[in-house]
Amino acid sequence: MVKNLPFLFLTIVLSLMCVSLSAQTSGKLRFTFVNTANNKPIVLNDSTYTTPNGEVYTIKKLRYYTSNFQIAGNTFPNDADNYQLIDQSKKTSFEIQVKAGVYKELTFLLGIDSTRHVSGAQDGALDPMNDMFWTWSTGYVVFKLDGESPVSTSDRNRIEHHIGGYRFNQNVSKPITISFKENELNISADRTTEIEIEMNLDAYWNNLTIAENPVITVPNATAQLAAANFTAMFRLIKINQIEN
Amino acid sequence: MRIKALYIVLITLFVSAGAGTMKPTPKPLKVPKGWPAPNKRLFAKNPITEEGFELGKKLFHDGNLSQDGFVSCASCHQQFAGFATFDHDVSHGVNNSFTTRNAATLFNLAWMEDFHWDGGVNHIEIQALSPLTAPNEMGEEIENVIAKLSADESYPPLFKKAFGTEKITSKLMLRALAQYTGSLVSANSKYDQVMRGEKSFTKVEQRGYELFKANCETCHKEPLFTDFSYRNNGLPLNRFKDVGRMAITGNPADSLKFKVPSLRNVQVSYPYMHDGRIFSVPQVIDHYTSGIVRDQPTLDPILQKEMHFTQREKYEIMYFLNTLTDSTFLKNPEFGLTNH
Repeated sequence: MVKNLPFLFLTIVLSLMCVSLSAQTSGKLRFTFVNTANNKPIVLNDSTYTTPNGEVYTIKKLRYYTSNFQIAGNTFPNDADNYQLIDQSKKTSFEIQVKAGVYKELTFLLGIDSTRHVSGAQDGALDPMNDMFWTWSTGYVVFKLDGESPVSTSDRNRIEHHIGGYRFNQNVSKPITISFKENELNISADRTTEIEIEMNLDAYWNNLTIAENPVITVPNATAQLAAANFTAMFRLIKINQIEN
Repeated sequence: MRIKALYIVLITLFVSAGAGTMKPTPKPLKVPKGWPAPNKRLFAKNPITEEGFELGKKLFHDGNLSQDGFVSCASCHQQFAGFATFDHDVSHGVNNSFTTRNAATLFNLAWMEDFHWDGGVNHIEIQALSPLTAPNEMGEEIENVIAKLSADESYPPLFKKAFGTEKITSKLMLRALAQYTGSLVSANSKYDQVMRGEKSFTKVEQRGYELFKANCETCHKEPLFTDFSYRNNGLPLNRFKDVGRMAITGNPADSLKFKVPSLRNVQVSYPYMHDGRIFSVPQVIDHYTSGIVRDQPTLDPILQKEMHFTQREKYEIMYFLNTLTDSTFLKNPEFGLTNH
């Protein structure tokens, strides 16, 4: 202990210096997910939507996990930021600090990586209390859509799509890539940069009908059909620069 | 001299600062001699400590974790029955419900890769989520469990001791439970004492051991008495239409496969099989000699060959299996609430 004290002081001083240095060169980056259907922002419960297949439905719950963010090949410095539960009723936006600079590409996973699936109890966005976790067969529900439709043959015209699975060829998580134009995403210390990303639910219904599949709650082949649509559901709307 | 004084002041500061956040006392797993190494993944981020173990033990025995306040983990996992439910084919859940599977024995879990009869759960930490929330087991929402524990004034100080924070989260609760259940090691049966050279088998037990090695050992592999594989041992589909492993993998080749259970403490953990359909050890042996349903595509290849035992041999096997009863484990006050 005695021997290590000077070293400890040095470490503390150095880390303080690092913090102040990075503070000068990082900026706020905000991710805002705009969930839409029929080209309108989604309103839970009351609004009625029509799938491209002509099926009418309402939405009660809409939640999905986004994770493993990489911006120009760099992961977010704080690991907890890397797992975000987007919930239409609670949270559709989050903010992190990233190094100032111009970036060309953002990638993330719609879902959760297999490492987190096999690492035991998790907290934060991955807390099982968030009701996005299967207890009978380990795994996160990475995309949840609950609602109602007159074409649903299930009890009380329910739609329950709980899309999950990570093992035995059941993986549903999909990588999403968003590219930026020259100098479009420019992060600096004196402002907040907001990336507005659309999650277009219309694209979810490709090869998928409510009449045939009102309920998907296991990681089966139908879940694979649904997950195959994830990539096409996301696109960049615009970048906003908000002066601090 | 001055520098030395400075150090003393600093050390005093460190020590007094440390007093508020006392580190828990490590309580590492003792790996019995000759056993394979436990599964490192299970406790890599959750080292077992005295305080975590004690907290886990209290949680394990607390009925307040269930919806009706009566059903605790220990209701269905009774120490004297090897932490299975004694004399019950299936167990009781809240509101007079029944489970659809026989409660598994709980010991030597730190050596497991997957949990449950179908291996659906991949980590000891998250196993408890299943019985806590299943409507025919403890039937409670995790949110309510955390709220109840946080409101119970006895818990926050124990979480502080074990994990350095009074803020109770599902993660810490699950980790405490894992520290307790993972510490349940059964390795002091007569069989173990014989292997350590402290005792010897009787002639009957020895003959039973030879028969066991020739006929049962592939699946019930020593020293844990399971190879942790999933196999169809020739039981017909039950009334719950329980297809076992196939429900997890989605693969028809896994239909009717269930995890090979350990035979340690088998004498006290009856009834047997995933749904408790067989009530005694002789009946289990009879199943393997004459009860196997053979027209099943997923029947284990090892069981394709018929097994034959004389009545005398059946008794010898049974006498050997009785040497797997670990009474020091079954009565160990450290694992129960008897010393509280």
